[in-house]
Amino acid sequence: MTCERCRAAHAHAVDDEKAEQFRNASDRICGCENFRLSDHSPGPVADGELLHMLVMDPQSIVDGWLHPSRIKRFTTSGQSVLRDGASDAEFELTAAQLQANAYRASKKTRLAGILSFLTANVRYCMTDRLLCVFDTAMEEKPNHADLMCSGLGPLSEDWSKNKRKKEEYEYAREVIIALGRMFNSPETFRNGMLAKYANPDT
Amino acid sequence: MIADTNQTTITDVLESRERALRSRAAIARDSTGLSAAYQLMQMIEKVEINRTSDIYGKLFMAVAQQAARPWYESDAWLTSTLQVIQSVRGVGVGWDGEDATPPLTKSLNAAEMLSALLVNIPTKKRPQLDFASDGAPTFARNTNDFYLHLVVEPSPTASNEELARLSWYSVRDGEKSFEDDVSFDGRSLPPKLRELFVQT
Repeated sequence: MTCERCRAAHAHAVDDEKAEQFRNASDRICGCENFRLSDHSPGPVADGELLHMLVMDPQSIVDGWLHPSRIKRFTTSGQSVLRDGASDAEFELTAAQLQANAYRASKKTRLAGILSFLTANVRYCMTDRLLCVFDTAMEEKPNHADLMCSGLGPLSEDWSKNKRKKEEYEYAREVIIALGRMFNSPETFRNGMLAKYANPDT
Repeated sequence: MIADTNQTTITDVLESRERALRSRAAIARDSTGLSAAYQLMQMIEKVEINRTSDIYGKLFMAVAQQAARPWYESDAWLTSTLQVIQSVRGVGVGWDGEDATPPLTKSLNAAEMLSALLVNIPTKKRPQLDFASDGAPTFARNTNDFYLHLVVEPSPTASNEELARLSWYSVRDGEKSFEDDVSFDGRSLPPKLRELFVQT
């Protein structure tokens, strides 16, 4: 069953292999989008839902857009986002975890902004698929979702390294454009409830 | 923060050279009464300091201006970029709050050298440094007429002639360009990269 394979991909222990696991779980591009992948989730992510990405470093925002360095994650472990239905507590927990994890790895960081965008805008590029948006709920974050690269198409395996790399760079730009530049500052997002995470010493 | 105690950075080397140059410039000024800038210019010619080198050029400007602060502090972009590089030296897995791989020391050193060379392009064109989840130093700009995504990749060969490989994708006034695995020796910008900034 595809649903079971998708749930297994969501539960896969190696983060860096998750996007690949999701791609292999279904015969269709982004096939796992149709399933509720966790008992904690409110259901698959709809095209009309607003999503929010916490950007933890000012360096990751360049000229008002997401820095292309951030796109690598979309092809490996997936980029975590929160659905608009998430509670304030889910946002606070996410920001606190990101900051604490970085600190444990000897890196001071601070919340630079919250990038908000419509699901449909990142799922489709004209008639093609751009990103997969999977419902990847967790017990303490039921409105957690993941953005993952949909794959570069069936011909990509035959391409030269150079051609595939070029495709990846072009893809990164398309994703950045699709994500848009609706950044909210921590001081203004949801009445400033994340403002304290804008300080690296929190 | 875990200190990277075994690492001699470009900043260490340049600070040391700057002290030496300042010392020699002071002696020259005392004995001749001529300006430090003029004396230093003569010294550069006589002692065959490589004037064509971008880094020495920067040092020359800093000493000639008799800046009270180290040379690299006279350039806000470079100061900021070097601090960004320093902030990830010695970090562990998950430095981005998730599962990111620590940047390789040799990639960070190459990024420092590249940054030092990028001070020669106009400030408004200089790219911003960030690090990908695989640790790769990544420079970018994204303005109306210029998009740049430049990645510093480790060189497959250990050689003084090649510090790293650079790959970049750019869109300039709608014209797309991609360069892959361009050798970077740390002494000058690859011609195609320099051309990209000059024409932008």
